[in-house]
Amino acid sequence: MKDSVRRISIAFLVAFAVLSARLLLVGVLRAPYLSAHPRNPRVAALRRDIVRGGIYLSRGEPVAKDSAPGGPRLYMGPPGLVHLTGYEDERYGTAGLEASYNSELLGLGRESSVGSFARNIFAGGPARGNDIILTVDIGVQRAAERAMGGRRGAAVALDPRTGAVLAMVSNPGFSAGQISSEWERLVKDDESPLFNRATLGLYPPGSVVKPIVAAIALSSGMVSPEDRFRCEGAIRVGTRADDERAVSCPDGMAHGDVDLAAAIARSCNVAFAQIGWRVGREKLYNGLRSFHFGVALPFDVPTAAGAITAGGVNLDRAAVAQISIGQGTLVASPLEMACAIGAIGNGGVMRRPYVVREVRSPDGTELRRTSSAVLRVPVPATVARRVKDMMVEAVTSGTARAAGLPGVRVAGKTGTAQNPHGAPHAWFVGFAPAEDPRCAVAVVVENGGSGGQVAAPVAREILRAALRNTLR
Amino acid sequence: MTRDTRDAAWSRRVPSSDDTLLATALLPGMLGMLMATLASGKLERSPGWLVLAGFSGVFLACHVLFGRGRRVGDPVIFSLVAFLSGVGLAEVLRLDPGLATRQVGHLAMGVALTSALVAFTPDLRVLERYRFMAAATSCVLLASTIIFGVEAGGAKSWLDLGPVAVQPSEAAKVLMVVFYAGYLKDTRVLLRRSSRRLLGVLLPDLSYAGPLTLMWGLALVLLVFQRDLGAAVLFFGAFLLMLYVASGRASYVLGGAALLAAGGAACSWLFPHVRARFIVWLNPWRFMDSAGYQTVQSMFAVAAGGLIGLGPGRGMPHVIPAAPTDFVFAAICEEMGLLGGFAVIGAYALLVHRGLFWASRARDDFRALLAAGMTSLIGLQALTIVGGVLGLVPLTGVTLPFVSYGGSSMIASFAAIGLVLRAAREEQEEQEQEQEGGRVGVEG
Repeated sequence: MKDSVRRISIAFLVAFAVLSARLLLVGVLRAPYLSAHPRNPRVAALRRDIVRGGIYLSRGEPVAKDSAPGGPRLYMGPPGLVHLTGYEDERYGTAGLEASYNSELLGLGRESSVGSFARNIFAGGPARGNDIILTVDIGVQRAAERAMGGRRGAAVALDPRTGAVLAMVSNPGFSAGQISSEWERLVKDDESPLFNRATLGLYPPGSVVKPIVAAIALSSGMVSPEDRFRCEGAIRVGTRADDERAVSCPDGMAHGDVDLAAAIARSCNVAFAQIGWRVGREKLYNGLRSFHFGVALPFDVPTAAGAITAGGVNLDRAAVAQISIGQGTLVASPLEMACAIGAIGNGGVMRRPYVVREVRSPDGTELRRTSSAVLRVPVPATVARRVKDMMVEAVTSGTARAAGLPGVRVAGKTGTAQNPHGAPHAWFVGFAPAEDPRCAVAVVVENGGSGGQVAAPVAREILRAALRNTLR
Repeated sequence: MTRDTRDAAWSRRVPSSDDTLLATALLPGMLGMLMATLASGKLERSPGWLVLAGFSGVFLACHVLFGRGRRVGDPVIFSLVAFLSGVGLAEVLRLDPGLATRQVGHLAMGVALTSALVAFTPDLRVLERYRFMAAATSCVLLASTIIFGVEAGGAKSWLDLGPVAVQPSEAAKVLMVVFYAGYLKDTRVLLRRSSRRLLGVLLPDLSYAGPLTLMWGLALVLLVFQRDLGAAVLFFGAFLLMLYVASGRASYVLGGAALLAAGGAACSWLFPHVRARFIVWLNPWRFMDSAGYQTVQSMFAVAAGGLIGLGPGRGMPHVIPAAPTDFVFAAICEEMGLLGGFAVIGAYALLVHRGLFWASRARDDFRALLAAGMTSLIGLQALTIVGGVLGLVPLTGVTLPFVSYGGSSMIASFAAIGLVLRAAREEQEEQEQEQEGGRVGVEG
């Protein structure tokens, strides 16, 4: 009997040790998450006494800040940026950066996790949260908003050398300050004004994927710049003789014998279907993967993953042809397209996109600064340079002429993406100056029609604003 | 080492009287009560002073009455109980001074009951005679709640007696352990002998397996009719542990646990309220507005405390549901921090260790089983509720012994610990007699 009592004693000891470990887990490891949880009533109590940190653009222009401790919160930012910066509302919670940087804005950051409430609520310590400073440039942002002109769609501009977002527009928008009174209308609106199209909107990219496919083709070694592809206006993509499915060029135009550069400049679908087949489904799929297609981008607010296929590499001939011209199952967000095309401009190096440049304490000290990081290196620099030249040609003499700017070499590609929701989406992706890009853009105008006529001018205005210091 | 030298070494280790031990144990609770009183802002005529005086008075009086702890059975156990009661009372005082005043009354009654058990029980073996009466009373108490019970907090385990509401299952638990001890002492030899094997597992004869299945049935009845998962686990868990003590057969415990698990699975399949408990336990966050609310709020509170806590009166434990009773541990963690939480867990670990130490020393089987059973009951109850509060096990509405607010639970816990202390004292008395006898023998 002694032995069994002793064993029970040991079992109890183990059980109490497990309990202590659990207490450590909840009270220490999960404490930062739990203490900043939006549904924690202590956070709400804290909020009532604190000046929530502000959100500022790159040169200190305020976007959101508290008028007094506990709010109300004032929003004064550019209206097109509202999805990115988001809102904070007592009833409807937080969204955008207001959500993802909630604990920083409340001053519950990493340096003050344990026992921070005591300091904040009672000791009269920092009654202010931390400020966050964005990379967004007010000039580029305003130009993007003006050029979009309220049309449904999205525009993203970023610095491909660092990944810093310079401008981000999603239309239609909403007023962050009026979220509680407008909520009912906003959630019922068919145009989904609360939805951040720039990061979460998934569109078939259409022809703007062609520079990416060209880069994959060149780096795969299956296609060389001298190879020529015959275009007779349309090509059958089925495997069987009675399969009538075909890929055709706009208006059935026959481009004749085209090389890669001409196929990009004139956006030849028939040539790209053949290029896709030449590369092969596996290399095409993996190539797109390496450009981060089908995988959610790491970013300061949630991003949508997009998709290459409905599942797996098992593509038939027709699907390979469709994906090669940016149709079929391929969908991507404007942010993804900006990053991918930025990689072409940046010598094949894809930078991790970011928009929060730094976190500052209320007294102005820098607490954290985001450092630029390489996300992927999808293609070698030589390949990126070749594709870049082809994109320059598309702007100087091809379909993307409307994006041209005087005195600067612009590289670009238009897209007119077929979709099941009506008129095609107008797309443009590009960067400038071509020799050392400082700005990469992706523009989509929903059901806007021709990319060359609708999206390219928007991109041109964004690039003009981004390069205003060097332009005459 | 011979038995005598070991006993001598052991008796040197046990302090015969220790004022500092009790003082140390009383101090954290008293400081907590002081801080709660100061934080409340009204220093004059604050009920805090009364609570503080009542608490220390009750324990000091008992200490003095028992020869400054010398005759209390085990001053370590007594001090641990004082520590837990003090910490609990401090938090209850901070949450609700009215409840704290009543809790002092519960403590006084509990300590008086413990004192009476330690001082006036003629011999624990007398209890053995009343084992069937204990079982019958226990069953009647349980039946009364099933028939006349009122529901509170999901479990139908309260009896409304006009001015006071009592939880008969608290007394039933203690009585049932008395019965287990008596029954297992009778059958222990038979239980150890096993005749058949099934799949390599030793099986007891059917006649001896009967009570096991009966206890299992009782646990399920509790689960189904009272909706009291916690009581079911405690009744059956204490029985299994005592069965193991008596038989030394791990297979009984494993088999019993499997039976309970099977019964639990069947119940969760049959009864939505049992199933809901398990689903919520798996992911409380999904149900944070409904059934998972308590668990989530309790985790928020634990996380808010940090290492040393915010201090009594400075946190927001009011937002935790049932903070003075079932969730008092979360409130303690918020205001007294991880250190407070670890201290409470550590106190239970020590208490259980000490209680089982006396069980292992007892030369009488009934006494050993009784001490082991009562200790296991307290230990299991602490594990069940603290585990539930921290989301480690499904949440069950049981109190934290000596800490939670509640008269029935407090008095039942003091009764249980009183019997452990009595067992310890009898052990010591017998040993003293033996030693005296030995000395006389040597001299003569």
